[in-house]
Amino acid sequence: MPTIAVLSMKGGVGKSTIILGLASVAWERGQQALIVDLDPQANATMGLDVLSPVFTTNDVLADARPGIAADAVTGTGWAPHIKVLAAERALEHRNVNEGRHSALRLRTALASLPRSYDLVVIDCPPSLGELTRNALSAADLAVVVTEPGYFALHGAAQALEAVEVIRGTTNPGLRTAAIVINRARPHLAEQQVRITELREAYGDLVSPSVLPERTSVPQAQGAGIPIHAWHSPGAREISDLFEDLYDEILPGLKMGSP
Amino acid sequence: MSEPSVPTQRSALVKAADADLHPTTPKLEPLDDLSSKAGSATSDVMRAPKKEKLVTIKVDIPKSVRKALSIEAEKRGLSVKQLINAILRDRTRG
Repeated sequence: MPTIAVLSMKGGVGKSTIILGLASVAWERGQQALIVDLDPQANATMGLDVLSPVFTTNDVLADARPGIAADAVTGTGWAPHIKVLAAERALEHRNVNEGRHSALRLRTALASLPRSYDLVVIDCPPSLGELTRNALSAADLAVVVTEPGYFALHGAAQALEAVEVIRGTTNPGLRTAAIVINRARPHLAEQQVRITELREAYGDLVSPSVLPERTSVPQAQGAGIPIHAWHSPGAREISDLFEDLYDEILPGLKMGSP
Repeated sequence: MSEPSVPTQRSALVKAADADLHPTTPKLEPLDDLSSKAGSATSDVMRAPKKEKLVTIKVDIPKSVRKALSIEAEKRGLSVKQLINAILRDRTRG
């Protein structure tokens, strides 16, 4: 159903954390989710407890025949209803223009596959290269992730520009769903200034679900389990915020909705 | 009445040719390709290396090395001879 690209032009702001958080909500609600890992660092793949996938998004993009991505869908360690198109280091080879319709290779390879899922989420690398172009060309919605810091805010602005460029070229239907603030430590005055700047610049596009930095997040990632399955007060707080974010981005997929 | 059409099976996904190649591996340009470009335009004459006479050398190598060369050449889209030329040129700065 909806295909969401999660991006930021700055590395380390927690794109994969947001991906895994949304996947965790789908896990908790029993919804069918497909995670498409387009980051050669493969952090989302590892967080889903997938260690040695047979096929990856590198193979899918190198082939790029219509619908071929179905051959690469891999089960995860989380549950049968959470699937992944895994990434690997060699995916970096695909981050170059590969000729005519280069930016449409993922969309072509996915074909009708997204219709089999309640949610498809694409993890982008932190760059404006061909992998990000492919992700945005295949997505319905873009979610921009940022930290409340000077460099990260610039990265968010660049990501929003990238969405506009893709909307004007290969994917007119693309729209930005939200800007998500991650790893917040609101007691820091500098971060408060940056959060205020962000809200003044982008208004309602900035999600009210501000995700604080909690040790339970890397702990759950290290254990290869959903944050909803990590039992600590911090994990419960983050899980609730991911539920709110999920419902905000995908209002049609609220629990109990048809 | 026309005969029922038999759907053709598409071939399955295979691993990308560069799946085992580290992204930081330098892309070697084979000697043959450089030589063939020389002289096709004035700027090429200025840039391209002088066309050299090719000589044959015979070297005995282990079969396992020959196999490794074949695999590496296929990954890079080169012939084994092109790959050996490029490696020797690179190592000797010839």
